[in-house]
Amino acid sequence: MKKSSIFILVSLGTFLLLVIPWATRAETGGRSLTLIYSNNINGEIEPCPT
Amino acid sequence: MLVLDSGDLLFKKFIAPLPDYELREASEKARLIIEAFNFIHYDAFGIGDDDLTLGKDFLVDLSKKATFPFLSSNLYDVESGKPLFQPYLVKEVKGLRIGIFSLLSPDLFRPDDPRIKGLEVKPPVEVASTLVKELQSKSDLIILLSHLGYPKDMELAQVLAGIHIIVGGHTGVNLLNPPVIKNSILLQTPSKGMYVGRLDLQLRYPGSSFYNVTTKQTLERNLINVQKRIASRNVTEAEKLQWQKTREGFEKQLEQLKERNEFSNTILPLTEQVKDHPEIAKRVEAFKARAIEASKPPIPKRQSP
Repeated sequence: MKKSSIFILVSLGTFLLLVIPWATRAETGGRSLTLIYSNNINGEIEPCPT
Repeated sequence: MLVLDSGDLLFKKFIAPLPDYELREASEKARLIIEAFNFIHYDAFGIGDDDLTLGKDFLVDLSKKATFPFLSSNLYDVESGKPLFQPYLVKEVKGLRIGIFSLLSPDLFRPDDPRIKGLEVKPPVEVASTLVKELQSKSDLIILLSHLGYPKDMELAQVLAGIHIIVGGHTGVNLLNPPVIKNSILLQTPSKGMYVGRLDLQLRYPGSSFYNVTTKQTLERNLINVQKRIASRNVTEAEKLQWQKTREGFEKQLEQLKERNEFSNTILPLTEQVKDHPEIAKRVEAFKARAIEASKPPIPKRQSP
């Protein structure tokens, strides 16, 4: 398995765990929803070109 | 807050059944992804065609290891005549009841496709019509995890009212500025996990349509510029008349946004600057070590002299 493939999976985990508490705080103002979504990860994950 | 995936998660794009020597690594990788998703606290995963690469039994076994439901509303087990997975989920988030269901396109499979052995993919629009009616009485907001492909997501939004958000998959198009068709917002991110999407929705007018906050901001900026033009001394009366008509157009468009629900959408790149999550990283390292070990050729036995 490519190192880059693994990297983004781990990063996705970190990113979402960081964003969840922040998004929860943002919801207190009224009836609102924050939706985090992904699709087509296809097992083999490439790093995002910078 | 909801965290959702709309399919083609576990395996590479299906071309042909995997050879035996790839089966072990592919199945271990799929388990690792589900373990990582458990850590991330995903709320639901909608089945895509490529998730069936190792067949229904593997996927059913894998679903038992997940802390979130695998959803598919139109994928049926031929033998039992029942849905293979939970057809929908109603989740309450801060008092908002959210109905989530998932559809898979039957057009993604050839008649002899080994991935759907023992399975039937029922017509998605018919299934959606029935489910939306059912979910309307149980929820305030309906989300579809769609594995129909982007063109069919657009068609579905045209013909079927009641789905507020369609999180699309399979096509992997970048919908940074999501289209709003009738009363449905269409979402999707590019493929291979390079990005993750984030939608923030304000629900002030239940039953009303939606608009993107950037559309409103653009109209407001345009209106300010037009007003400056009208107030300028350097415009002729004929030009002023044209600008006034333009201003009326922008004002009318802004008026139409009133009593609609506002949303903003971001597609976030997952670059190498994003730090690793330690628990997932630990499991990934263990997986890599096993993969390296498995790829080593067997040590030949020494022959005694």
